[in-house]
This record gives sequence, C-alpha cells and structure tokens, in this order.
Amino acid sequence: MRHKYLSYTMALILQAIENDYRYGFEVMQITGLASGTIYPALRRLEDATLIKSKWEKQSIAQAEQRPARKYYEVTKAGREALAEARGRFRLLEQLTPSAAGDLKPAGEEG
Amino acid sequence: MPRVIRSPWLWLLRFIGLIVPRRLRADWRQEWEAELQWREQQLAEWDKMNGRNKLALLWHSAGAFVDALWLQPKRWEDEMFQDLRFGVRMLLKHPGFTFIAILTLALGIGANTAIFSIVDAALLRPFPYQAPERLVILGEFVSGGSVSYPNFADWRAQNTVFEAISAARGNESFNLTGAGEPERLQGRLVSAEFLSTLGIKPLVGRDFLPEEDRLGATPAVMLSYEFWQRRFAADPSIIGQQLTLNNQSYTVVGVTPENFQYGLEADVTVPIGLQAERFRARGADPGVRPVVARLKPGVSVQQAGTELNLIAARLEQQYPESNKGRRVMIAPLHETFVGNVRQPLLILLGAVGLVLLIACANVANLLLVRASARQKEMAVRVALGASRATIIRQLLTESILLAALGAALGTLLAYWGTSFIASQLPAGIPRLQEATVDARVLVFTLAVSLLTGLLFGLAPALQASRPNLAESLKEGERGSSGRRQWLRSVLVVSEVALTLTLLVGAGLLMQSFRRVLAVDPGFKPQNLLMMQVSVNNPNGRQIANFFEQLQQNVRNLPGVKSVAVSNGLPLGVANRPTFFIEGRPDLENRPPTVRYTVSPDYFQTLGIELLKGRVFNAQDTRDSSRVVIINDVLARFAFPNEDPLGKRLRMSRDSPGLEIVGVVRHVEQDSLDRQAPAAAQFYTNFNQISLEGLPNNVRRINVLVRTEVEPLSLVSAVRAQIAALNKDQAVFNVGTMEQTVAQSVAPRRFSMLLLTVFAVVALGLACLGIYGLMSYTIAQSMREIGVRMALGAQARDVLKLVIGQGMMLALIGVALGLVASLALTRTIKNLLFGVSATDPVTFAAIALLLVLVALLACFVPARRATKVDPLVALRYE
Repeated sequence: MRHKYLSYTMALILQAIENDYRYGFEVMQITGLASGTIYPALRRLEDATLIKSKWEKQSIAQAEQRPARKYYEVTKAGREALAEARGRFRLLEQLTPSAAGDLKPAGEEG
Repeated sequence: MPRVIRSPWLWLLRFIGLIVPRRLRADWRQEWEAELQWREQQLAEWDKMNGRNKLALLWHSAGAFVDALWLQPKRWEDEMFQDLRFGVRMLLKHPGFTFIAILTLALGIGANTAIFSIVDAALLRPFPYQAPERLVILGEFVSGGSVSYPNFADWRAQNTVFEAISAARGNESFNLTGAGEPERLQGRLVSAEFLSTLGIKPLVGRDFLPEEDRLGATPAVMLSYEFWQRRFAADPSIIGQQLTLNNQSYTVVGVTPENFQYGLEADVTVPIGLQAERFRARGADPGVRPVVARLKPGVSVQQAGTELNLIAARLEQQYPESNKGRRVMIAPLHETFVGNVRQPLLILLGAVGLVLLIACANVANLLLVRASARQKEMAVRVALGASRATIIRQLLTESILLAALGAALGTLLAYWGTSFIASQLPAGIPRLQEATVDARVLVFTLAVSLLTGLLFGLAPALQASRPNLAESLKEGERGSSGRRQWLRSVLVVSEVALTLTLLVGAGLLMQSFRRVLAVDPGFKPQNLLMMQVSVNNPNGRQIANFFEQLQQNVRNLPGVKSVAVSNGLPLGVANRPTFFIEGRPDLENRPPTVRYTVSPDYFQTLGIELLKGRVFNAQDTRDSSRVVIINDVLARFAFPNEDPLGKRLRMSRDSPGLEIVGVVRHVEQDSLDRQAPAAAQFYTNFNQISLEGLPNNVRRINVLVRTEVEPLSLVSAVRAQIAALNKDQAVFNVGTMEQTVAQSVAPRRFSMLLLTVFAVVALGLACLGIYGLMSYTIAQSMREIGVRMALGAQARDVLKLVIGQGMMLALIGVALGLVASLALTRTIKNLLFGVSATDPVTFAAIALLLVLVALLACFVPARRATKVDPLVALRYE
C-alpha cells in the first residue's frame, strides 16, 4: 500500500520511529496513540516500505530471559515521505531531534 | 531480574493469536509478548505497577486484537481468497452483467429450491410413523380398495406375517351437541390397534383398549390435537369427561399427538367395534379403508401378499356368495400415499431442472462474452507466468461466486415461492404443510448452486485459459475466435431447444386443461348451492317430515328455482353398489356402478337431461311400487337392443326388483377428466326409502338449491330454514357446485400453471440469450457491416444478413427441440386429456411462437446494425 501523502497519525508515528522510539509501546507512549492504532499503522508503513523491522539479536534476548523484540527503523523512502509530511504538518517540527532533544527513549537498547 | 509473564494478557494474546494468519502467527505473538513483557518490566522498575497501570496494560494488550484483525486481509491474499477478492472486484466493476447473471441464476435456483422443498416434503421424507418402511396398506380388488370388515377380521385372526394389523374408516361425521355450539365433526372409525400399528402414542391419556373395540362396549373417543386445542383450550382434564356425539355419550380417553395425520383429517377417533352392526355384511358396503398393517421384521411385501391371498382363497371357498373373486392388494404405505403425486411432482422437478439448465446456458454465454473482453487480461497473465490451472481456478471462483449470490437471492425467492405454491396445491398431496425451506433443502440448494457454478463456468473458463498469446496481445485485434463463436452458438441453440420442450409440455397441459373444462359434466353447475346435513334421529317418520318440510320451505324462498335432497352427488361422494336385471343371468364385465338416492326434483335442480320415460313424481310414494331411473350407459349396457322402460333392476341377487321408469344422461362422477369407461348409474327415490331404513340413510344428505340469484347469497336464508325446523341441526360443506368443479380440476390446474410459469421464464431467458448473442455478434462485426454499407449494401441487406444469422440458430434449436419434445412429452402422457402427446397443432403453434419471439430478439439488435454510419464503423478501430 503506497501512501503518497501520509496522514498526520502516520507521519507522527514515522517521526517517532525516526526519533529512535523503536518499539511499539515506546511509540505508543510518546505519541499518546492507542495500541489499536499504532500496530496496524506500523504494519501499513512496513507494507509501504516506509519503515522496516528487525528482530533483536537472539543472544541479547536470551541473556535477558525474555522473547526477542522487534524494532522498527525508517527507510530512505520513509525519510522522504516524512520530509514531505513535515512541510504539511507544522507541529511535527516540534518532534524533530533538534527541537525535542530531551525526548530520549527510555529502556534498554537492542 | 526479568520475570516470565504469567499474566492474563499472555493468555489473551494466545487466544487472539488464533485469528492471525498461520504464516504470520509466530512472529506476531513474539512481537506482542516482547512488547508487553518489556512494558510490564518497565512499570515494575518504576514501582508503578498499581491497579491503574495494570488496567492500562490490559487495555493496551487489547490493541493486539485490532492488530490481528488488520492482518486478516493477509489471509485472504493466500490462495483462493485472493481469487475471491478479485472476483468480487470484477463483479462490482460490471454491475449490469452481475445483475443480469445473478437474477437469471436466482430464478433458476429459486424455482428448483421451491419445487425441491415440495418434492422433499411429499415424496422423500419418511412418514412420521415408527419404522414406516414396514407399514403396508391392504385392500380388496373387487371393491376398489375398501375391505369388507368381516374379511378384515379374518385376516387379522389368520395371518402370521404381520406384527399388527388395523382398520380405519375416515370421513365419518359426528354431531357434537351438549355444552356450547352444536358442531359437526369429522370422524374416523378405527380398530383398537390403529395407533399402535403406526407406532404412535397418544399425547395425553391412553390408547383404546381391545375391549372398547366391541359392540356394546362403553363408547370411548380420542380427540385430535387441533380439536382439543380449539374446543377445549388444550385442557388436560378433558380426559375422562363425557362428550355427546350423535346423541350418544362418549368418554374421552386420549388426545392424538400434534401433527398426527393419517389420510383424511379427523377431529374425533372412535373404535369401529362400537358400530360393528353396520359392517356386519361380508363382501358388501360399507367397508373399511384403509387397512394398515405392520410387517414382521424380515417379512417382505410379496410374502405377506402371498399369505393373505391364500387366506382370501380360503374365505372364497367358505363364503362363495360374497367373496367370489375377492383378492387382496398389498402395497407399501409410501407407495399408496405418494403414488399419485409422484409423477406430476417429478415432472415439475424435471421442468425446473430444464429452466436451470437454460439459466446456466445464458450465464455461460454472458461469461463467454466477458471472456473475450478479458482475453487480453488472460494473455497478460499467462505471459507473466500464470499457469492454466491458476486461470481456470480464478474464473471458476468467479462463476461459483455468481452462483452463490444467485443462490442466496434464489433461496429468498424460494422461501416465498414455497409457501405460495403450497397454498396453491390441491389437497390431494400429502404432508405438504411440512414443505418449507429448511436445512435439507438448503443443502440441496448449496449443491445445486455449486454444480451450477461449475456447469456454466467450466466451458468459458477452459476456453479463456487457452488464449492465443500472439493474437490477443496484438493491439486492435477483435479477439473473437471462430471456436468461441461456435460455442456460443451451441449454447443458444440448446437454450432454444430446451425452451421449446418446456413450452410444448406446458402447451399440451394447457390444451388438456381447456378440454377438461369443456367437458360436459351432464349437469349444470351454475347457480347451484349445496350444503350437507347429517341427521341423527331414530324416528323415520320425523326424518321424512323434516326433509319434506325443508324442501317446501326452501322452495318458497325468493330467488330459489327448485330444491332437492340426495344421497350421493356428482364429483362428490356416492354409493358404489352392483346391480342385477330381473330374469337375466348375472351380467359379465359390468362397468363401475354408482347409485344415487334422490328426491323427485333432483333432475330438474341439477339440470340432468331426461332421455326417455319420466322422472320421479308425487305419485311415487312409500305405498306405491318401487321405481328406479337409470342412465344411458346402464341402458346401453344392459338393454342394447330393447326398451329398458318397464324392465326391473335389482340391487342384489334376491332383493325385490325396481321398475325402470326413465333414462337420464350420464353425469361425471369422479372427475371431469375421467379416463375409465363411463359408469353405469341408477337413481332410487328418496321418498321410497322405508321409514325403518331412513335413520341409517341420512348420515350425509345433500341439500341442493337451484337459484336465480348468486347462490352464496342464499346461504343464510337456507340455514335459517334448517334451524327453524331443528335448531340443533349441524350444517356443513356449504358451497356451490362451481366450486366443486373447480376443486376437481385443481391438481391439473396446479401442474399446468406451474409448468406454464416455468416455460415462460425459460422463454424469457432464451430470448435474452438470443438477443445477447446477436447484440454481441453485431458489435463484433461492426467493421464488416460498415464495409458492406460503404460498398452499397442497403439497410434491408444488412437486416437480412444479421437476422439470417440469428434465425439460423433459432431454427436449428427449434428443430432439435421438436425432436426432444417428441421424446419427452411421452412422460407426461398420463397427465394429458383429450390431446395426444404428439399433438401436431400444439407442436406447430409452439414452434411458431418460438420462431416469432426469436425473430423479435434478432430484429432489435439487427435494426441497430442498419443505423450504422459506414464512416463511423470503418473508423471503429
């Protein structure tokens, strides 16, 4: 599913991932969107190859005695779409790294 | 220290995960588990694992459900779901095509479902009795099925093949008096084992005891469920109470189960033994019917028949007077009940099957047209590596989808259709109340629609899956290969042929119906009011006075021309005795005989023509010599070369002779469409029945009123006259003779009507088929037409060319259809009356009709072709 123009929600989620909030729940926390919105949106973004997902290394998960987590990152196409969306949605600016430098993802890294 | 989740959300995930497509499930679950666990851990580290956060976590995990739902389309993308989705899209893209195709299929499938639900109820379902396959019906040949009661008693005593055997006699009438309105009830006399033979237990109370089935026993009665509901509001305390029936007190012992049905409906059931006196005479009327028996396990119908005929032969030796030639007929219950309706119903089923075939041919044709439009699409698919199987699967999915949609709509149609058809059905078809569109019928519909989808989809799919790549991919090619055109022509030809067959069948039935209505019944049914009274009075003098007075009073009503009373009526119930001629040996090969007992004005009232001699008059009384009037059939049979007047007729070998004083015309007794030879009929005088004999002869007396006004307008006036003479006198079966005539042709009317409806639907479909094909062909040959016109062809020439093509197909179809009809109409031979199964007039008329309709269907698109502007047509790509 190709989105020529991202909706605000989509752009918000994309921006959050771009800002290194790389797990579903982190995105949920930082954007305040419901889980029922976030996950389908992630799937669609992934289908549109605006983001891609990776499984965390099994060794790390095993060391922590928990299931491996999936984290998302923005692709090149995603960055282009995001840049276009930023032009339309001014509020997104506040979430760009420079403006929101203090917003750092909590939790451990994968 | 990380913990392993043992939380409710984990279970929730497991559960929700079930709907995630299998392929994605493991990943999906792992992601969600990891997320939730991470979040929980985070909360725990923050020491904020309070109730509120737990709730929030639970709520977030519910987001997994939305996520899983969102993944559903992925499942569809697997295999045929993709085809299906694509199919839906294709159908939505061409709403016109979709609409026509679905409607066509809905008509075909709906009609099939409706008729099947009726066939299922009438023919296929087992009877609601215990082990119905072991039940048989017994009858005696001589009396056309009814069994003399003493013979029945001997069969019961002597047979070794039956587990149980019982007798019943329906259509008995009982007058209910005492508390509440007097009411005339339909009754049934049965031997005590009747219900247990069928394997039925009373709903309330108990079955009859053997000792209640005897002369002089305490009268007992069993109520039908419906009567119990209606009259006693289903009060169970009715058991043990007394009912007054025919002035006699009966104890209610039980209530038969709801929906219990056996032959004619009966409000009350009474042991036959109570009236054993009436049935005493061996080999004479009245008899019992039916005699139903349950075979012992392992005994075949043939074995039982053999043994019973041995018993019958013994009885014949023992009672040569009464039992001469009495043989036993035996038939499975099922055969007896549905034997008559099987053929008409199966013919209707065959007819709707043809309609469905035509519908399939039509839709197949539409699909072929679509297929050529989609040829390029297919070629691209194949070029991109789709296998033939993939394409066939895709196309079949589409056609089955169409069939399923058609079936859904058709089921709806059938749902209404079934109740409508059931309401139109003649009363003769058993168990029709049960006809509904139920699970069984739906399974049938499902099977039919699947089959239909395959049937109309297969040929187009096979064709389309073999595209000529080079041709199709070329721009501007009008991809109509000769082969495809050929297949479409075959479809149209077969449609026309099938339609012709249906039309011929319907035409023959219509002809028959017309002929039946034109039959002269021998009396005048117009302006004739009829009702029945059943008198219960042991005093013959009072009875005679009652009827004398009644006729006189009714005759004086304004609007009444004449009035008569009778026992026995044409197209109704009548006595079937035998007769002898005084001073002659027994006649061989006597025709079936009917006896009517009538008052003098009967012939005038019914409009029966007197051919010779006189009718009864006031001089014929109980004190004068007994006289009889015979019909022309009896006269010709017994007195071929003599004058019958003055000869004497006897009702048994040694009864006193009755002087023949008149000869009247034959009246139709059983039906207007009689196939059997005409019956010998004779009339005895109601006024000459002895006063002692009267009480036994007035159980069912017809009061007949010839009116000058609309007969039903006099009902209340006549009823008032009856009530004035006896306020407790129940009156029943009020109606007109015209209604009776209509009723007697109802089954014929029913099959004719349905077959006609199917034939018309078929005609419409075939018309659509021809029209569609011609429109398409013309659109395809636009350029050719344009060239011809540019070269100087006139509109007439184009018309001739196009119509010629269409009519060619129609004529081939008609020719094939005529051949098929010749073969098929033989199956409806028994349903025809006065017209041969190969009636040339009907065949010719139908063929002509079809040709004309086909001409019209060709003409409309052909005319469009003549309007083509050569310039436009030539530019037309």
